[in-house]
Amino acid sequence: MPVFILMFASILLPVVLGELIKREVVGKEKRNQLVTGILAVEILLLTVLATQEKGRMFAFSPFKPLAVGLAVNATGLFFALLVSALWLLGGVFSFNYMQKEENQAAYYGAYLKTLGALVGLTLAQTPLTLFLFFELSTIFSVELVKHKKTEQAEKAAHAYEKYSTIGGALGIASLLALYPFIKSPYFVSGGAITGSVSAPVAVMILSFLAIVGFSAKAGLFPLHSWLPIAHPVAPAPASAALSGVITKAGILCVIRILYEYVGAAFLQGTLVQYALLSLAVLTVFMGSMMAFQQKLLKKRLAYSSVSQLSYVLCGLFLMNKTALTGGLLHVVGHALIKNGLFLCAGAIIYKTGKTRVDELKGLGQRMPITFACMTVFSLGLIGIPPTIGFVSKWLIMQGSAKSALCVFGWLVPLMLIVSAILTAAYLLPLCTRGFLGTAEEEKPDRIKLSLSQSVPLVVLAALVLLLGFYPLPLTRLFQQLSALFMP
Amino acid sequence: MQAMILLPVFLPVFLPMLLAPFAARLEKQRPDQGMKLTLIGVAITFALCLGLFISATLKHNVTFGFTNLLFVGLSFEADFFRSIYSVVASFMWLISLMMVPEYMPNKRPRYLFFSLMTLGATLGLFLANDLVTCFIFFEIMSFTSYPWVAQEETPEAMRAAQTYLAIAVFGGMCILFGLWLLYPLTGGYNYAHLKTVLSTQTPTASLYIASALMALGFGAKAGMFPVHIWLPKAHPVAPAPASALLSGVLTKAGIWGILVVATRLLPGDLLFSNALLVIGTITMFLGALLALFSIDLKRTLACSSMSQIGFIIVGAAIHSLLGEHNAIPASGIVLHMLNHSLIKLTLFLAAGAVYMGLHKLNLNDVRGFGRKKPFLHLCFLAGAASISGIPGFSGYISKTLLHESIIEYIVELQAHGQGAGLYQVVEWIFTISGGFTFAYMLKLYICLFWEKPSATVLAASQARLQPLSRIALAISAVVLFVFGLFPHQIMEKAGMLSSPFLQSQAMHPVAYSAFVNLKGQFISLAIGLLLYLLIVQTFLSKKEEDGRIYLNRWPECIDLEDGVYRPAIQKLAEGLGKVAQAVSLEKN
Repeated sequence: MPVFILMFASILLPVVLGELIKREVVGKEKRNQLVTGILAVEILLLTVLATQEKGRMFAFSPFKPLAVGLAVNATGLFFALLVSALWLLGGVFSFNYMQKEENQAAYYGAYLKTLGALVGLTLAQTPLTLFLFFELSTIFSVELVKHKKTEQAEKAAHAYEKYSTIGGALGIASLLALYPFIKSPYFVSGGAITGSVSAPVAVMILSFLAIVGFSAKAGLFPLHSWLPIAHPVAPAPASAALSGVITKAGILCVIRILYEYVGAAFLQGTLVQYALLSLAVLTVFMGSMMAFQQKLLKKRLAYSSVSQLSYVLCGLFLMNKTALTGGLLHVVGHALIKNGLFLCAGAIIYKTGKTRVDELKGLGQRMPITFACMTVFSLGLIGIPPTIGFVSKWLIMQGSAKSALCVFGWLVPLMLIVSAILTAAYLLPLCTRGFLGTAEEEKPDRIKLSLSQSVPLVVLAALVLLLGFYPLPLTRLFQQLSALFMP
Repeated sequence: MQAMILLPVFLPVFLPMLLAPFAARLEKQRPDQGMKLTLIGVAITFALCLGLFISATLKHNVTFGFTNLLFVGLSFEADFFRSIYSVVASFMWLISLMMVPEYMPNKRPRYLFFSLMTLGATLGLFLANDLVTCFIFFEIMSFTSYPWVAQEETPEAMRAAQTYLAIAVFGGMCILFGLWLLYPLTGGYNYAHLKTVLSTQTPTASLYIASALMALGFGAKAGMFPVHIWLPKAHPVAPAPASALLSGVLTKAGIWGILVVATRLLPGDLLFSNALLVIGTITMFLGALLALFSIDLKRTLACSSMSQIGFIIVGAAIHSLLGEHNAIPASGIVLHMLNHSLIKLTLFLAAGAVYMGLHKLNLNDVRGFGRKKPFLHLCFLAGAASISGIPGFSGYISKTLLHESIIEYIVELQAHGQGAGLYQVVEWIFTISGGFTFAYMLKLYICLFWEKPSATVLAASQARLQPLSRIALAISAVVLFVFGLFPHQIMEKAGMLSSPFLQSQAMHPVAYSAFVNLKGQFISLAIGLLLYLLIVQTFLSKKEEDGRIYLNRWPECIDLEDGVYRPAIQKLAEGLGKVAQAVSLEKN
């Protein structure tokens, strides 16, 4: 039983306490400590959960296709720990940042509740549960998007809700329609379809639609349009969470459907795989090219996420172990890097109010820590060794060489290279112009960051380098996961 | 011997990198202390490289591998060529850093940080034992050397640095794609493994594409045509101690990659070698031409580097073409790399001395600066004479070897009754480019040391160099003399012992003072003298009352970067941007 209690506790703790904070039950002065405490306890709960026996399922299924089930497994735990660790860093960063914003109670409430929904999503073991937490995470995180209460924010929140609902509905409808063929509502490693199915074409179309639907959260074309609108309008730490972490919920959904429900063995080499890869490759290019054209820093970063998340999706859709390992590693890489970049943007906005990329000239000399970290993140996103981005890109490329997919065998690596060059083009000038090229006399004073802002940045940057230099713990874990997914 | 085995080969790679943040921090808090720490650190690195070198001469190659770092693993080996180049690189770092205290009163912490990082990366690249390790350090080197180019932060420096960075990113990605293409063919990247696996296969299209991409990527750093555009702009704007390293060592890192590709991936392949030969010939001639037209001291030296790189690429192509009997080009390549590194060290440090005196580099502004400065005169003369290939100086040896190898290939072709027209043309261009080298060095030399100085120059030239800079310049020049004086004892030996890396046998001795060899070089020098008298004296400068005025006759419209690359990239970005906008479904 302790497993079940721990599972419910880890979902309910942030949701319930988040609601209390939102209602301002706790005084302003105690709030920061409480938020830190909750986030730390959450990590602790998940760590304890990791030591428990895997696979014990809490299930409730009066009507089989609509079964509800929660269980701990390696994939879910990995995502849950990643999410909660980044949530803590983002939370710490918020303390200082949010002082300038109004309505902080609502912000922290929504921030915590979103975490609860995401943890629930990682534990979900049936399509319906997955869908419920998918929508719940949208409902909670929409509050973050509309936090500023401007007309633009409302519009963005509306777009977010719309796409998430369309995507989720499409996804769950297709998954439920798949039930007659799969005959089990539970996720199993490697997928449930082992032999032949009665109507392969229908299964293929439905799996395609399910994946595309849930990928809305990961910004896959054609359901990506909300992402560059919604991410930038939130307060910076929330943008970081949205772009760096919540998008990974979409990735997890795709993993569940592709590798634990339908199964890669069934989809390998089918038209579905080609179609999905085409969408992902298109999105990689489109995202980078659009990011290149943006003048607002946060919008540029949001489009960059569109592109980078499709790196991950490429890794998943290639359906071989190496590429999958790379894709999972890029989940970590992109989460660290994009969080870091949005926090950098946040630090810049907080201290100077500058939001456009052409206003950053010479700012690096005043904010050296921020810009040094930004440089590390940029190099990571391009995939320059020794950053984690290099290793994940390398693995995805190697994986695509191994899969016999005619055109995609080289199109995926080529697009990754093109996108890397574009990434360099839209990020590196910010760093170089930030540090260099202003005349001596124009240099005003240094801007000092508070510890709650600089520590998360430095931690993230250090991780990007360290995990790139010594990625073995992660790659080993992901190789094991990939072996489970593709027996 | 046992002690040598204990010396880890990765230490000179990681030591400077680990030291970098501390040195920069110390320099920021206590100026000059960080500088000292850096010098000590680089001296230790130099000693370590020397240890590897001694070990390699005793026929014990130190190796080490990290299987899991960066997932792909890193592996190092110090054979003779690799360790001697590490010795040269760390030596050049040491010497050039000795000029930093005087040259650079400001912004020193940053310079020291990136110098140490780049040193580690460069040594990693040279000591690598597989292509991925080589690539990884190449990428790190590309990025950590960026701040060198941008150091002065002037608009020109920023623009040159931007081009440098763009080419570096592009080149790196080319190599990455090439490596990716290579993997299915070889299943690994170890140098020896590549050679063994590929020598049994007939080259496929993807091997050609991979090799071409990698040669392009590495060539970009070497200053190879058509990706040389950054070089004539970046080297002059960087501070002189950095220019010396950019020109002397970093271009060699690019050559290094080309050599690996040529000797490991497609050894003896006709198509690849001939393509390399043509590109090398263009680089060799274009660089020399640009250097002759330049009226900026450091730009001339930079273009000269490009031209010399062309000589080496031609050598690499011939080396590949000659197949089994390629000992002479192998020695030629090795020696010309070594010579060019050391020569450019001397020349750029001399240019640095001029810049410290005048803060100008235009030939009309520095005219006559070296008058009554016998020390500077002597140092510059050593470098100039050596690079022009005047008999008795080190450059003569390596140029003769490279020239001899072209002749040898022509003879071999003729012996088999095949036409050698293309190679004959290459040989002519080789000789003519040698002439250009002499002409532009003569132009610089006469301008600096024999022209009448203007009043401002005269006033500024009273200042003397500080002792440390003086020592740096002196050491670099002395090395050139010593090398030239003992061709057989030092240079030939170095060339011979390096040949295993280039997959060559030992070569037979060459009679450098024989008439044939002297004749070839004298033709070259005669062409140079004629060029100087007929073109530089008349077309590129004019005599006026208060001395000679140097004219910038290079037509401005001929600029590959501004004329072709930048507009093309802009058009491409616009076009692709529209496509992306259509795909993105974004409503404006």
